[in-house]
Amino acid sequence: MGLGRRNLAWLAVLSAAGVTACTPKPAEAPAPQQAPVAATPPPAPPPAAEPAKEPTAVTTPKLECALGVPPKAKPGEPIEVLFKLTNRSESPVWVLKWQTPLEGILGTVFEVTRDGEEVPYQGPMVKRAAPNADSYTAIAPGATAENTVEVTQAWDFKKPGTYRITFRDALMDVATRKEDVPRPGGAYQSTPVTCAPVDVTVAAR
Amino acid sequence: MSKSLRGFKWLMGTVVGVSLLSGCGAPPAEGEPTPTEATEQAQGALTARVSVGKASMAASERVTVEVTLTNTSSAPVSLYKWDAPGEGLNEGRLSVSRDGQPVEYTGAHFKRVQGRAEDLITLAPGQSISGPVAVSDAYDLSVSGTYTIRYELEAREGVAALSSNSVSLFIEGRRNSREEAEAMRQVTAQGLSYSGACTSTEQSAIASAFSGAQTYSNNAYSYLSGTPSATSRFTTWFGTYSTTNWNTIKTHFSSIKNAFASAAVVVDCSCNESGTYAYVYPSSPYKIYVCGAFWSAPTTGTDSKAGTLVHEMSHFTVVAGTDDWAYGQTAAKNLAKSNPTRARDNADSHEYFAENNPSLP
Repeated sequence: MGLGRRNLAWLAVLSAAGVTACTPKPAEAPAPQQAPVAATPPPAPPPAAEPAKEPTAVTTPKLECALGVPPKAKPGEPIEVLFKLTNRSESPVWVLKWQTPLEGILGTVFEVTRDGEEVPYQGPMVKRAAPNADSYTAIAPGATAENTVEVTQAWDFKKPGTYRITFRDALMDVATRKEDVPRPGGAYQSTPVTCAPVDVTVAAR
Repeated sequence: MSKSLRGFKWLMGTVVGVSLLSGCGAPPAEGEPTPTEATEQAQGALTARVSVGKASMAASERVTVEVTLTNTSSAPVSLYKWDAPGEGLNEGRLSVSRDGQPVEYTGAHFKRVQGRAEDLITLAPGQSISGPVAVSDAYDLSVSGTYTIRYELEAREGVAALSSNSVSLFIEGRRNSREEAEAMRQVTAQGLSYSGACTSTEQSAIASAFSGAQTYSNNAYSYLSGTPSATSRFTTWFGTYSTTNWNTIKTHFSSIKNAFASAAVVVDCSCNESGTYAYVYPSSPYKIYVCGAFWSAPTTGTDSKAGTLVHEMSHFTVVAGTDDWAYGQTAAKNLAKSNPTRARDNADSHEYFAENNPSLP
């Protein structure tokens, strides 16, 4: 593996996104990655609570998304963000990891602002070949897929201020049948997901 | 209010200040602004001054002028670093004329990210900033003659124009070294080099792809230079037609084609990931890392090597600043229907528009 040699740190990001970190586990099981996380925000409202704008909302699997980040950090310190996706439906789902923290940071998985102003993304942007089964994470009913990513290499968090981290508003593909993994013909089912943004305040103390 | 917006506000208070430099013996160029009226209503002034070390330059000498900006007001003044000397004035901030005729700027053009606080330089009251600004290789100095040079910050939204004194000097005609380098490069590929241990086979595959990417982006730009309308080629990849939307994409392809024509592109072969065509760091132009899937792609056509280079070039913030919202033709077409705004910001949509395979009118 290895996306280039320029920034070996990205290898670490990729390693951190190893398959084991994404293995579904019971929602109640203690997750070792949660150690640095001081507070996990309340889960996003279930999709059912949202106004159903499109008929596709009917078939949208119930996926609950949550982010976690330490509320405070010092300038230059690593900042780890926990991303959790919980399957609240009765049947398993397969989630394409592309453009989610489940695969690390290989694109603009987050939008980051500092005191309301956009912080430019400095990480890699990747053009993918067709996915294979390993590009997906299976999540059993009630289980959670999660991963922790270090974000200070992809966005500049050195300046003091309050940074808001927001996940994209959709997953690129979510399959509800194993035979759709990987999705044939690139007919991905982009699935909206709502993840409450989290704030981290960077200040020298 | 953001820092950068405040910067604009300060600049609004800027008036023209000219201090003629003694010792240069330069008669002012025609059309020299008369500073008196402007300074009378000074509200916080930035003064620009240009000077030269000697009065004539031989063809073998590099021509620069020294530019000094001084905040003569009682409030801080902010400006973008690329508008100030010291970081290189690489966007034609000088007004150059020869025998009263304007001289063409031949240097690089940059698409800047505006409004970023980190790009601002603030001058405290009384503070000056100065540095050399290149004239040779940035302006057409092919003809010998007396050249008149002035620093100008042109008027823009809410910002008054700023103009310095002018200096005159005799410059012996010379060829633009960049043009010479370009003429030499055309023998091989333009502006293209390699890193990350590309083999000679890989280098020739990249050179072909690069040439294909130039053709794709030139053709896309020509197409977009035609009469705008809701063509199927446009709406298939970018969704809802409007002249604004059309012009957004036209601007993107203008930048993409210009980058392929003149930027120093480096293609790196160190990535072997088979599930990946290529990647870039959008804030680090113009280095493109090609990966495993790149080598099995055709030179041209859908998801080709040439198209991949167009995709990657579109990502650079200084080019079109695109993102990845959907991958593959099917998803890109769906995105054009479901979210045209994102389609216009999607790298694969640009690639497929450029590849135009199958060909759409």
